[in-house]
Amino acid sequence: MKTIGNTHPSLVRLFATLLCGGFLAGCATAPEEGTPERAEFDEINDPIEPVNRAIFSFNQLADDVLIRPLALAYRGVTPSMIRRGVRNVLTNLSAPVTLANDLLQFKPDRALVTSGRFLLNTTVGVGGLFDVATNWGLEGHREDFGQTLAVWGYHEGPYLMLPLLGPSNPRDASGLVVDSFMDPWGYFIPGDYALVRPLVSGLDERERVLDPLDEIERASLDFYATLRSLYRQRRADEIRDGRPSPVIPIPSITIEDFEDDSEQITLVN
Amino acid sequence: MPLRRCIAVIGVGLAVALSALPSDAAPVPSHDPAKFVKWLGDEAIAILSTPNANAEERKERYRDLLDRGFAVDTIARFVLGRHWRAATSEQRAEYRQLFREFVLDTYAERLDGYAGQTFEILKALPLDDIDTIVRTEIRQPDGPPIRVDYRVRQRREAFKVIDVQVEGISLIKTQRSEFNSIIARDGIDGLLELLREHGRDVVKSK
Repeated sequence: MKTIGNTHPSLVRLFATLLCGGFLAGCATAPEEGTPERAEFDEINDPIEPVNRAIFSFNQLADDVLIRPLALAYRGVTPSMIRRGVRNVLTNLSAPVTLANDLLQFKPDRALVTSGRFLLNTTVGVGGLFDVATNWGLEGHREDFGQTLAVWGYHEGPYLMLPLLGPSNPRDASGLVVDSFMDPWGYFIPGDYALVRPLVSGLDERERVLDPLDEIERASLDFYATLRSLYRQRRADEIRDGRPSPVIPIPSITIEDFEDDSEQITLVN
Repeated sequence: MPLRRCIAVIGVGLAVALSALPSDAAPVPSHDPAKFVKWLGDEAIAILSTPNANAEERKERYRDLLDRGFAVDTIARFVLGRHWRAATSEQRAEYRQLFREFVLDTYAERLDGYAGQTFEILKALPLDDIDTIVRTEIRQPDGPPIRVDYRVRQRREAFKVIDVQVEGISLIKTQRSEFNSIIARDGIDGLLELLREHGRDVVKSK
């Protein structure tokens, strides 16, 4: 599997040293090479976990103080029809980027669907306000450059918690940057489109996940770790375009042999 | 003699009346994984719409349903992964007990929120030579349908759910990831303490 790590290992080592040198206390101590602890450490793939957790705490604070209250207020003052309209317009505006990435991933059938949806929803759907395309059988999807990089064979790299933006990794973060350049609207629409749209999008998204996120947090013993796992599985699902995931082997245990030591449980990510 | 026969008649009558009540020993579908999942869904909806039941009572019944429908011990063992071998006998026993409480409580809570939504069973496919995947969809009024897949395993005469995947996200995989992280930082005792704490919080909130 291609990674920057494989093609330019010395570059990665330099980067890692700089990163770790810069945040001396921020690098998690890697266990001894060759131990099962090390295998697990490599599998969790979160070498700057202390830094990430610190950023996560900051994000949680910002969320408690500002973002969540805003999202609640948004939900409180707008009828759900308006919110749906906003979401539809935002989705429609993201069509060009999705289309570009459909093509870059060599998925012409999905590109056709994206184009069809965009045309239908912009015209019949009045500038994207109404998602008529779904009613007519064209289900939507989103593509981004991070997914494109994945399809091209790039591994995600270590876990990154971005300030305010949340869970990510080097590949997906690069994808965000590329997508913002690929987005055509910023070049046509006067004003601060490049600033306003992400803010509106962020508000819409935060409102949408208000209840599920609260529920996940309630049930978590370690919310940071849970989100990390959820993010990665979600990305993997998006990259697979919803196709079935690889099967995790789960050995059979009966009540009687619960005490049995001999079962080999394979650790599969 | 008339008195004895009288008692016998009453006894029979009582038995007939009792068997007509909805009972927790209702027969569970045992040949078709898809029917089993449908049965789980129907039972959950029935609990949700129980007349005169408050949230506390409903949650109790969800817990029972989950205990019958899910392979809790297998899931517990899988979620702990390789740390099982490192755990002492006491730790294992406590973990098993705490995990059961944690899972039943967490998912009973969730069921109360989601049980009302109708889901549609799409198909059942063999996963490997042991399990079956039952693919379902929850239809939403605003938004695309939510994919929910149940991994079902047959043990002796009963079916049990081993894993639930929502939109490609495996619940037991997420759980294992979380527990792994806790154990890596605080050890198995750290995990047990967090589970105990969570149990205490649950009791407090009642």
